[in-house]
Amino acid sequence: MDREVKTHPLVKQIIARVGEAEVQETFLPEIKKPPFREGKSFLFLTRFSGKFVKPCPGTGKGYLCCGYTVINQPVGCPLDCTYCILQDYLGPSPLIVYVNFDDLIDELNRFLEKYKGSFIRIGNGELTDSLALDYLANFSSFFISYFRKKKNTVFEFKTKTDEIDGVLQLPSSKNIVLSWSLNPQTLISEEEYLTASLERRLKAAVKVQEKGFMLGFHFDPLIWYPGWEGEYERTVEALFSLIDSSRIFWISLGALRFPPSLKKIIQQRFPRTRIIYEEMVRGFDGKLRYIKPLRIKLFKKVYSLIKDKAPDVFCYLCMESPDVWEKVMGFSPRSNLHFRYIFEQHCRKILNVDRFVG
Amino acid sequence: MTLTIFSFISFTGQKSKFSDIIKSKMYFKTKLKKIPLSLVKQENTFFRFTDENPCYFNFLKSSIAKLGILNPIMVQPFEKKYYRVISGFRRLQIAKELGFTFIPARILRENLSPSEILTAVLLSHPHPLSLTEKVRIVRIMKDLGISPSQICTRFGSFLEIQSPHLLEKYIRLSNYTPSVLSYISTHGLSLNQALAFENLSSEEQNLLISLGTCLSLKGYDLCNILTDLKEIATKEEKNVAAILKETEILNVSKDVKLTRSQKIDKIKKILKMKRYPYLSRVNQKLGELKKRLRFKTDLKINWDPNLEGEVKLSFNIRHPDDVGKVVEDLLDKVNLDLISQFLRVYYEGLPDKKDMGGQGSKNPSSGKANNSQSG
Repeated sequence: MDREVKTHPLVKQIIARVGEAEVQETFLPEIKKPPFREGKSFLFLTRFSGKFVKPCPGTGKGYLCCGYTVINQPVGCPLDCTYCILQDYLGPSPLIVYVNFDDLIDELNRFLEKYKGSFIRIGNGELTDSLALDYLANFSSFFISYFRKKKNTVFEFKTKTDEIDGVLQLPSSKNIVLSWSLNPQTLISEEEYLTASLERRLKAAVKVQEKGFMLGFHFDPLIWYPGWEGEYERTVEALFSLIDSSRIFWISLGALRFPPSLKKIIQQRFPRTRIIYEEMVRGFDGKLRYIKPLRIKLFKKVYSLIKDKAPDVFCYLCMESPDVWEKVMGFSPRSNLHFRYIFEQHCRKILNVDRFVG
Repeated sequence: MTLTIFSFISFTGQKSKFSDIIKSKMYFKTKLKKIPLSLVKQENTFFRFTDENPCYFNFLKSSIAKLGILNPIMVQPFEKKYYRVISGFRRLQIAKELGFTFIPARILRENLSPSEILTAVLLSHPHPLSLTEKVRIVRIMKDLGISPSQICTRFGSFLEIQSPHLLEKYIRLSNYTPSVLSYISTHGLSLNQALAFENLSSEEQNLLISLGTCLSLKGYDLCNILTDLKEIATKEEKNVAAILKETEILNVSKDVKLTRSQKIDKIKKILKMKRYPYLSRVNQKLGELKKRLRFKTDLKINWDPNLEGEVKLSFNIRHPDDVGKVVEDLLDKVNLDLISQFLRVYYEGLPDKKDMGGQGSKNPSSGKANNSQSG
């Protein structure tokens, strides 16, 4: 822990929950960068004096982004997916929990006041798995309690775990979305280390749905590998055999993409993975992504599988070009702003929220 | 015969600090001495780290023939009357070839530890160290049991390797065979380019060195070819040697009808076809369609070979009549048909998509994860 926060009441609670761990007082610059996997067993408790709330970085010109907002609390993920961007973005680093929740509340209040009248989609699953560290600091309790009253916002937890105990203890709200990233079990076993199996993710989603929360699903990253069609078919089948599609707020589709610098890290850390060796090219944003015909084929297939089962469910593509949208969905938002507008309309419809509800 | 007093020069080519000079006195028995060549033995080459460069050897030989040995060799006494060479193997060889009977030497104390000998060698090295020389020194240090943190703190400034992250790369290179290091040195590869040889068997290294030597491949080309080869091998779950053998690459490299650059281009094409089969076929098809277009004006059709961007038609208008001619070109039945075929291939793909993402192992990752990765 940071020496500055050792007397913070939350620190004692977290340490008590961690169990048998060695506790050291230190100072952030003194922390030596541990290797990737090792870093996942280091938890650093500190105070954050920067901005917690930021617009999702999205991606560069040429691809459409939905205007999501992210909360960077906590930072770092204990799961270990081969393709995880955090390996490049954060590098080898410990998991960080910021204990100054008061400052986060102040910042969120200011943020929501500033964008009063706008519809905000916000979540903390950008730099972490939203629920993987929930047992330590009750993030779910904090975010659900805070956002349930904010009617012009939707808060999303994104996870690959089944750590839902904290969530289940709280009353549900329609503007709180629990989202799961989904992939066929083959990919989960081979590429998503330390995560919950597909079955466990879906069982957790069922429980959360029964509790009354809204659900989201992210087929992101969609990964091309021999036999993918059948396996994604079975995954979509499994999803809709358990989940009531009317409780699904959104489903996103995104194809595997990563900056070239991440490729080297993946090659070193996961020499057995083959997912980075498909035909990929540098997109306009500099990231490596599957060639367009391949992406279209992936999207078309999974999109049609979803629409066959749930014609009314709201689907969108993450970081894709307008022509890919057109080919997959039959239409395309004209701009990022238009994309945001479409999303906002959908959210207002689901939540029955008019404009200017504070 | 008098000997010049040499200034003590550190390996960076700059005069070392006075403290280093004082320190250096701890290592040597005498300042300089002429010793009989017959008493100098090449007992072992443990401390030898310099690059083998025939051009430099010849240059040195002609210089020594003219001026004599200006920079004394470094020796250590053994078995009472003999001396073992520590540094100056090339100078010794040249002295022998030129028929010298004596050689100027600086004699190290007998009781020095290997680590102290290495320090003395480094302190007196007259030239800036090359990449491969640094790699060999790191290897020597490893063999002497000097820890990475000690290498960074004690020798970091000498070697210009002060961060553990950088040292780790040198340590990886220190596992390379001498022939690979020699190739890296003679072809001027950078540190990151040199790392492309990693994880190759000695058979693969030898095949690549013979390919590289045959084509005189420098860093950039070699690195690209090697990266593609390794990625193809990983994807197809074969080794690089197998890929080299099953493609025409080795034959192309020996084809006497082709120039060096033609050979390199052809090899790159072969690799591209194997690494990006669908993309290559699409671009090939687009190229064929483009060739068949019969534009009378300067209409041009351009496309993004990565298939991300849009297809662009461009033309220049120098005269009002040009517009009509361009329209005529575009409405020409053959051209119109070819352009629509072109756009279909570009935006919708080839009718036969069997190559698209169709290669590779059954599972995204082959086999089980190793212990460090499994959950």
